[in-house]
Parts: sequence; structure tokens; C-alpha cells
Amino acid sequence: MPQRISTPVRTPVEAPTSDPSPKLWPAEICPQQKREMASPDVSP
Amino acid sequence: MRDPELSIAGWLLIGQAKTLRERAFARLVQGLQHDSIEFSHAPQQVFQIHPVDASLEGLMYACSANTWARDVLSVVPITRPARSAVSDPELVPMLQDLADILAWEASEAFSADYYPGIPDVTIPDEHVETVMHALQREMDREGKSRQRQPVQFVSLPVERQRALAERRRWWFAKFSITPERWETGKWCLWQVSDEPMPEMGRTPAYA
Repeated sequence: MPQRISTPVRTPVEAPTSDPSPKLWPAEICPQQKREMASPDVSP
Repeated sequence: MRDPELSIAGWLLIGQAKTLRERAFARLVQGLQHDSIEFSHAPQQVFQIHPVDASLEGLMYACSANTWARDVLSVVPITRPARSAVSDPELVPMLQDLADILAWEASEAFSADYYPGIPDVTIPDEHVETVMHALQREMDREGKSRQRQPVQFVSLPVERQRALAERRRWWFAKFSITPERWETGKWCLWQVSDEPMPEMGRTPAYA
């Protein structure tokens, strides 16, 4: 009878994300876009 | 690299600037001549000044001593109109530090372990929503152009949304822009805080 070989199964630490693209953070946008994001048309 | 909105004179001056007010002043300087100064928001107006100290502080003092220069620096526009039909009004470039700080605050709201509000600032719920919507507007546009998923401000816990809106108001006030002054559409250099630019974790792309 052939010897039974068990194959180790590697469990992923984190589930894969559905969206592989990195998130865009506010601090990453360019200076002009930051001036727009400050939304000076909205009262402080 | 020089911020393209900064004059060469302003670029040289901002290297000496230590406080929010000094940095805002440097960003306002359009040109320096033999014994006069021009400001970006007041084109074609030249102000005679007589600095006695060869420093940024001395230059600011000389401007405060000239009644006309002092007055012009007391009424600087807050906004610049939208550049196109698909963009929004923006802060004037002289308030770039405020824009940088607010963008950093918006990122911190997502990533900081501790992100408290400001106890002395009270903002109604509807205004918190309005601010979140306004912040999202630019992030969505930029996310689309970069093909990246922008952060979603509505996904923040309500307490963090409120803290971000409160901190936004607090920082605007550091640049003299209270809700009351915002109604006038102008800010005042002389009322900008004299505190240092905050440490924001990493060096901004521009001076």
C-alpha cells in the first residue's frame, strides 16, 4: 500500500482585498488640489 | 523645488520663516525692489518701506509701519475662483500651509491611533456632514483621474468626522479665518498665529 503523503496547506494571514489598488489619501494629493480640498466655499 | 505659486523673493524669505505668520507673509511677497515691496494679491501697488534690520522679521516690521502696506495685508482674499467648470474654488496660494495642514489632518483622521476633537469648538451635525461632503468632492475627482480608490469620509466613525470638522475650524482660525471673518471673504496677515508650522510626519513636496 502506497504511503499516504500529506500536503501542508498554507492559510493566508489576511484575506485578499477585492481592490488591489492602493487607497488615495488626502495628504498625497498635489498642492493645488489640497487648496481645493480645503473647500473655502464651505464655512469653517 | 520651488512652489510655482511662490515668487523668487518669497522663496528666499520662506527659508527664514519660522512661524505660520512669517510663512504666510513670505508667500504674499511678489517682489522686492531697492526700497519698496509688492504683494501678490495687490498687483501694481508698490509700497515704500524702510527696514532697519536685514531679516524677515525686519521686513515684516517695516511693512507694519507703512499704513498702506499694513492695511493691504489686513484684507487678503481667502479664495480664488474655480479654474474650470470641473474644478472648485480654492484657497489662495498664500494659504498653502493651511491647505497642507488640512490635508494632513484629513489623513490623520483615518490613520491616527488617537484623534480627538477640540473641546472649545461646537459644530452642528449638519455642518459636519457638509464639511465631509466638501472634503470628499476633491478626493473623488482626484481618485478618478489617478485611477485609485479615494478614502471615504463617511466611513469614518461619527466622532472622528466631528473631530475632523472641529479641527478644520480650529486651523482656519489659526490663519485668522473665523466663521465671522469667512463671511467677509478676507483674512488678515497680522492675526495669523505666531506659532511654528506643525510637524506633519513628512516633508511637504514644496517649501
